[in-house]
Order: sequence, then structure tokens, then C-alpha cells
Amino acid sequence: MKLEVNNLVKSFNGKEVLHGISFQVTSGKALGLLGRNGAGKTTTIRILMDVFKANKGEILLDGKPFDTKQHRIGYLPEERGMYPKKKVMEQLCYFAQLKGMKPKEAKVSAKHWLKRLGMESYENRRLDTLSKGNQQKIQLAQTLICNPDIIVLDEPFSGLDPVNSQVLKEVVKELIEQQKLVIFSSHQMNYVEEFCEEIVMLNHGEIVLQGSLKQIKKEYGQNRLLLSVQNYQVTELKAIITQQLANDINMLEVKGDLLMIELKENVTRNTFLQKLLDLQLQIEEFRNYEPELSDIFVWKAGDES
Amino acid sequence: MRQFLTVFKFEFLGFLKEKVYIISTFCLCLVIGIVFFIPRFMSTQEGVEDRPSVSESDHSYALYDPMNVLTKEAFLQVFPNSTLIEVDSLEQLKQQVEKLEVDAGYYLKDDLQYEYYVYNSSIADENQKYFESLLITQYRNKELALLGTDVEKVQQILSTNPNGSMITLGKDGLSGYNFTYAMTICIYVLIILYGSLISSKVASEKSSRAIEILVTSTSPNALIFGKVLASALAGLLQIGIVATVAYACYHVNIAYWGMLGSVFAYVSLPIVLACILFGLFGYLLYSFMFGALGALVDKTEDVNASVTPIMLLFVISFVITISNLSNIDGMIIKIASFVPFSSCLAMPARIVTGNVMLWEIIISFIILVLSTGVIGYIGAKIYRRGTLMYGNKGKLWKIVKMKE
Repeated sequence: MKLEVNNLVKSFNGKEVLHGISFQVTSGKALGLLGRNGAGKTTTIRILMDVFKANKGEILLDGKPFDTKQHRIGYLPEERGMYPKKKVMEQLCYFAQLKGMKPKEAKVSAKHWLKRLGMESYENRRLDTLSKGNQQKIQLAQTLICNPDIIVLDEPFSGLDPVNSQVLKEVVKELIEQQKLVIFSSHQMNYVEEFCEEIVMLNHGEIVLQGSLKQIKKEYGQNRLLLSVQNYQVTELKAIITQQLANDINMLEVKGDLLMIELKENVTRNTFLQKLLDLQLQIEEFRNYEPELSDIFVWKAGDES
Repeated sequence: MRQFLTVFKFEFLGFLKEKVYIISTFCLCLVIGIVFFIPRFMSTQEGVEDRPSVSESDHSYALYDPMNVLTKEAFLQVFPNSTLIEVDSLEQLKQQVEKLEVDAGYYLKDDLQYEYYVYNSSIADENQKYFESLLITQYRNKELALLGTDVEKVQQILSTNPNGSMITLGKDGLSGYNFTYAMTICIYVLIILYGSLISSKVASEKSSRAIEILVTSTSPNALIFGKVLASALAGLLQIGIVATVAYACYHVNIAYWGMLGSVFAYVSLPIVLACILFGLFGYLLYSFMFGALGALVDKTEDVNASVTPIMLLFVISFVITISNLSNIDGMIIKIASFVPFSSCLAMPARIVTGNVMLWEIIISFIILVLSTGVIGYIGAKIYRRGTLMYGNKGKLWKIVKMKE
């Protein structure tokens, strides 16, 4: 399956909040939708889920208009959404049946997911008697109960402790292995890095970065080096390079004990290394810089406070 | 259809499991049961009611009768178990009353003129009524005797009553009035109670964000029709249970109800059917509006403000019907019986007690059914659009004009 989102535009009260969002994702892959608060992630997901209608644009599944009611979709909304006063099993079966499952099938599936998430002892408890983390797991069970082919998770890790986050991570990995189409938004970049082959980064309703995560990291690491020397501290090293080799570099940045350097296009690593040796610097570490997603996120979306 | 049935089943079972539903049904049955047993309990005190005396307990009275109009025996016939103290002056009578030595005092000026003295007056004091009847009887007997008439014969003539009974060939106005009153109250309570419940349920789904899951997998028509019809069935079931209990209790106590029982004896199948049909569609009409308005608010505490216009509309319909029951063929209730928002109350009232043609009933019913369909359709649209408006309270007109 291939899901295509083409040129989505959405306005609220005359103010445009999405300015033409386009991306695509295929089965067996996870797409990470990233962005700061208010960037437009949840609005994009809500349009995708037909909660809102877009003012412009289209969503296609395998080339045909996407109708959420014609497919089994697992949707975990950002603000969650179940009945606090109803029993867990009762409402899980209800949501499963609304998504087309038969009552017996729904019950078997509900039991499976409750067991998988370690929640089987809570099936006859009212939702509002559970802790926030456990409610989150019930919400996840609701999302996956209908064995969906498309899974949309809006901030799935928020409110989970490290142990439950690990359980969710395992579940998401299984879903990807099962060739499901997964879209999820998160602020927690480490999770996005773990699952997502593709990312879409939004800022102020526009896509500011998009593509294969590996490729993006490679591009952002190009011409960048991490450097440390034995005979100088990193701040001293920074001062030396700024004075002596300013014509060879675009920028410098201290990252912990290392100095990150971006070389100018006409400067090769070998010539730069030779210049460092000529300056009597005793090289301790000299390697290519591979940026973390959180760094890329800050560069692209952290331009304003 | 499958989704509608799923929503319907979930909502209906939800109603049945709710404590408020179980407790209110039980309490209603209990109250109805007690009401129907009241005549049985009251009948055990039979005889006490018909005593011609003022009270069973002992009382004492003072009498100042300078003209010797009244005898002590005659007084004690009307005020049995009482003590009468005859005094010689008005001052003495007043003292007796002021010192609370007697309950009350009578100063009899002549055959028909008197003054009644009491320390503290009371709304429940009926002494004067009995005393005056005693004076009138005495006076009549005296005057008739003076005319040389046989007093006993005259009394016999005056106390003779005709013995007749009314045979109603058309509609029994009194019984119909009672039945209409009871039925109108029933429909009113059903709509007010369940209408508010529907609004609250929709608003709570929105506040808990469950609606976001629901609208992504289920059509809004299935959601609102499932909810409204489930609550309709739950309401009818509750009314049915209470009516069954009422009917059973009435039959157990039928002998003790006498004429009052005519309100229940008047029930005939066509009338019940007409009431159910008009009541049901009126209920559905209002429920769709309540459901749609519940979707305009984010929090359940805002529901009351949102549904106030509909409540007002319904209360006005109710007041028009109830206030025109004594003028059931008047123009106001005739018009109200064709307006869909009031016909659910006004037309059954006209059917039961007024003169209404069959074509009028059919036209009114068609208008009501079509209006229910249209309001249901619009209600589903408002519901769908209203559920998407988070944060701000939805304005009805804005939502109607809104593009999806």
C-alpha cells in the first residue's frame, strides 16, 4: 500500500495553518511526522483521519481517494479518546465492532492485546480507575484491536514510563515487520530514529525537511568532522583553528569534548588533517560527524523561541 | 446499518446498566405502587369521614345567649364530645377565652346574629361553619312551626335528591381530561429527562475525545440515530415498566378506586396507539435537536446553556397544551396540534378529549414524521460539524453554514 498526501491546505477562522503539505509512505515503513508544538502535525493527522476536511489537497491510497471508513485503520489521537466511565473490555469490543469486527472476533482480539500489553487483569475495570500510563496502553489496544493495515499514532510515547515505552517500541517494531503502514508523530527523536526510515519535519505549517532519515543524516554530516587533540582542551583547540585555519572552515561548534567543524567545499579531509598536524596538534579523534535527529530538528525548527 | 446496530446496542445497554436508570425506574415503580395502594389504606378508616361532628377529640366552648335562642342539647348534637359552658355576660365569655379555659366562645345576639370569640384564629377552624348550620336549622324549624307547617315533612322534601346517572355516548370529558393530563405529563417528563441525557452523552463524548475515534470509523448518521433511538427505547422501556406496575397495582386495588379509577379505565387501544406514535415521534424530533446541541459544547457543564432554547420551545408547547385542555377545540390548540414542535402533545390531547377529524390526525402525523426526518438529517450534520469544533463553543448558525 502506498499512501500519498498531496498539497494539503487547511485554514481555521480564515488563518491558514497548513500551507501545502505533501508526503508519501508505503507499507512496511514508518513515517515520522516531526515538528514543534503548533507546527501542524496533529492537524495533518486529523485531516488524514477525516476528522477535519482540508480546504485544498487530496489524500490517495494506491492512487485512489482515501476513505477512512473503507479501511481498517488504527488511530491513536493525541488527546486520546475513550469512555472514562465504561469498562475496558466493553469499550474495546465496541470500538472493534465499529471497525467491522464481529463480536466474538472483537473479544478474542481485545483479550490478545490486553495480554500483549500486560493489561489482562484490568479488562473489567472502569477506564478512569486506571493510571495514566495504563490508560495509554488501553488506548493503544483500542488502536490495534482491529488488526489495522494503516496505523496512525499521534504522540504515542507521551505519558509512558521507560518500561511501558519499551513495550510500545517492541509493538511498533512488530507492526513494521508485519508490513503495516505506520505514521507517527513524536517529540521524542530517539524513538523516531529507531523506527522511521522516512521523516517529514513541519514548521509553521510548512514542510522544512523531508526524506530518508539516512540520507538526511548523511547530507547534514557532509563535510563535517569531529575533532579532539591530546595537547589542548576543546576550547583552546577552537581558538587555534579559528585563528589559523579560518579560510578552510565554514563553522565551528563545541559538542561536549569534541569540536565539530564544517569544511569548505574545496577543502578535503586529508589536506585539513595535514594542516592540523602542521600546527603540532596531537590528534586524538578525527572522524566524520553523523548528526542526531534532535540536532537536525533544532537546526530546522528551532529558529525561533 | 451494522454500525447503527452496534451503536444502538452499546448505547441501549449503557442506559440499562446506568445506576441512575435502574434507581429511577425502581423509585418510579415504588411511588406509583404506593399511590395505587393509597385508596386501600384510606378505606380502612371508613365511617370516620362521614361523622357530622366537628372533631373526634374533646373541646370546650362558652356560650352567652341572652335571648335563649339555643338549647344546650341542640348545641351538643352538632358538637358531640364537647363541653358547653353557658356564661352570663360577654365579659365572662371573653375571660374564659383569654384564659384558655375554653377553645372558643359564641355570643348569640338573636336567631341569626352572633359573634365568635377565639384566642388565636386558625385556617383549619371550622367551628363557625357548623355553628351557622345549627342556627339556620333552628331558625327554619322555628319559622316553619310559626307558619303551622309540618317541619319534618318539609325537611324530608328539602333533603330529597334526584337519582340519575350519565351515559356518555361520545367522549367522556372528565375521564379524557384526566387521561390526557397524565399522558401529557408522561411525554413531557420523557422528553425533558432523556433529551438532557442525550445532550450530556454527546457532550461527554466530545470532552473525553472519544468522538475523535468514533467519527473516523463510523458515519455520523449511525452515531446520532443509534444514540437517539437507543435512548428512545430505553425511555419507552422505563415508561413500559412503570405503566405495567401501575396497571397491575390498579387491578389489585380496582375496588378501592371507585370513580377516580375512570382515568385508567378510559384507556383504549386506538387512543394508546395514537399517543404512543405522536409521543414517540415528538420524542425523536426533540432528541435529535438535543443531540445536535450537545455537540456544540466542549464540556458537559455547558450543556444546560446550550439546550435552553429547545427546553423553552418544549415548555411553551407543554404550557399551551395543558392550559388549553379545558378549551380543547379552541384555535390555539388546533394550530399547536399541526406544528411539529407541539403536535406531539397537542394532537393526542385533542384526540382524547376534543373533536378531531381523522384527516387532521393523519396530516398532523405526516408533518411530524417528515419534520422528524428533516431535523434528524440536519441534526446529524450539526452533530458531525459540532464535534469537530474544539476549544470554542460552537455557534449554531455558523455550524449550519460551515463547509465540511
